[in-house]
Amino acid sequence: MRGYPAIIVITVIVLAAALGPMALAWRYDAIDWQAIHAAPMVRGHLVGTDAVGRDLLARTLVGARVTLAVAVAAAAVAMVIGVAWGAIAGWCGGRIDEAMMRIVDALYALPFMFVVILLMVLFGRSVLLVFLGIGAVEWLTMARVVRGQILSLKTRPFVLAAEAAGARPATIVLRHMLPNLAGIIIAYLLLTIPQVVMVESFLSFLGLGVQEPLTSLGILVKDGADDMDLAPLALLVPGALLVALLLAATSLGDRLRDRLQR
Amino acid sequence: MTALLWRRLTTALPTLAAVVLLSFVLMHVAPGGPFDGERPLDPATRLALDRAYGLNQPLPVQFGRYLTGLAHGDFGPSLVYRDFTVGQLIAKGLPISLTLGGLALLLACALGLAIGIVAALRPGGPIDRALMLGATLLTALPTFVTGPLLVLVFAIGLGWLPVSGWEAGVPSHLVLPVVALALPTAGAIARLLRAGLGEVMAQDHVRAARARGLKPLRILLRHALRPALLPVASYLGPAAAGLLTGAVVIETVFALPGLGRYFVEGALNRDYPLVLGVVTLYAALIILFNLAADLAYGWLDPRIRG
Repeated sequence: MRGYPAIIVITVIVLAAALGPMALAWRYDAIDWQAIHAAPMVRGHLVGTDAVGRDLLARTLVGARVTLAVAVAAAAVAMVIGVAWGAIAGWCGGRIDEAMMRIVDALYALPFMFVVILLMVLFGRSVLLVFLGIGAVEWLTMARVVRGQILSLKTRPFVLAAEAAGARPATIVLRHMLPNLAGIIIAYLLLTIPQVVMVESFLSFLGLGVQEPLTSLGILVKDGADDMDLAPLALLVPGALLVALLLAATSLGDRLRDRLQR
Repeated sequence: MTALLWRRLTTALPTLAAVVLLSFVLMHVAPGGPFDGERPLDPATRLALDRAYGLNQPLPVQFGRYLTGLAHGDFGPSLVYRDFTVGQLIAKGLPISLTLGGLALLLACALGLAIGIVAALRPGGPIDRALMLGATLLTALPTFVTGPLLVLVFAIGLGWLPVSGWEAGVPSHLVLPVVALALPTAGAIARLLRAGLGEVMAQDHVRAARARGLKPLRILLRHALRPALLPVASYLGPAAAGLLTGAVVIETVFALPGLGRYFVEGALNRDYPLVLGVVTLYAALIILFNLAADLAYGWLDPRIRG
């Protein structure tokens, strides 16, 4: 029963981000010259406007949309790399396994954020690069988990049976083993999402993520922080949404993992 | 233990070299260079500049020269801050970043251990659940949200502490940055310790202690704490890495002249030696910290000393 609040929060945020902007009176990039730094409920701006008179709620929801899209895409990239890496290492075993896992260990110890920042600075700031870069960084845990699970499945009778029946290794891993790991993989996918959101917001905060007029929660927090002494809501609204999203995804992922990993 | 350390050391140096190589190649492969300003330079000037900094040499030669310099402790000249060498910039920024990160790590450990121990005293009770929810919330609070929020409340609202900036020897400038940086790590440590204590408390030696009639707090501190610290110790390496990267944001939020600021400035301006120097230094620090975490692990768990 205790997983429900997190599911509800996530559902509400996703629906609001997907449909909310259409239901609002103002577009996220429309400037209302009569309402610069407006208070909530002025001229149809439900939570007020930002420093150039754009509707804060619309901007927050569109920002959440971008953040969510980047997060899901990057987590998917991380999942594909991680599952492939872990499955190959686990299946092959021996020296190959040793070498591949040493690489993972070494990568864990790296200041990866700096490499991502370098990538962003050097190769322009497209949304595509943002999620590819983040995805390429966040696959390590997934690889470790999948490898461990594959190792423990390898000696199970159904895998031996498939082997004895002459199935190719790729078939065994893809058709027989991975479906057994679906739950664990989904749990770690959920846990990857908040990390990706964190990295994306971090980059956007430094001005290295997506670019205007597109926006993301990180950019909104940054803008809000810049004039919070005048309009604290500009910081609080996107900040609260970001924290709610991170908290819900983390606790849901935790619960799933605890339940599936004996 | 020696075997483990040896293994770690043998991977540490190649890892460091790989980081330097990767950053070096990335910086030089990317379009744009340090002297691409608003106005194109006169070709003769451009050539002279490139020659002065060795940028006209083939990449492998440049890399070799960089490594040689590095081995002599020379990080090269800064291309953007023309009056400084990278070594001087690091010498200016590193103490600030290390103070910030070190204090944050101490605070995170103290806070995290306290939360974890108090929560584990009554497993499943209301205090336990409230504290663990709080710890999860802490881990979900990005530093760039807590930083401005703390400023809003304690600097702008209450006026107790300075908003931002840095004056040497004035500790009040460090309070908010350190707290903002420490909170997520504190939450993570609290959760790890609470989970570890939960497992250890179910083990036989704890049951024996309980059967002897020892007080719960004593059992927790004398019998359960040490094995439960193992996951915390292995988290310290990644935690240090997280604090160093978090410091980049914190230094931006609070306008502190630390190493992270130089890194972002350097990257934006293609200051190759500055960026390489900072990345190399950070990689070395993180690797060192992982080694220290391994040592702590060996001290806590006699079975792997070997």
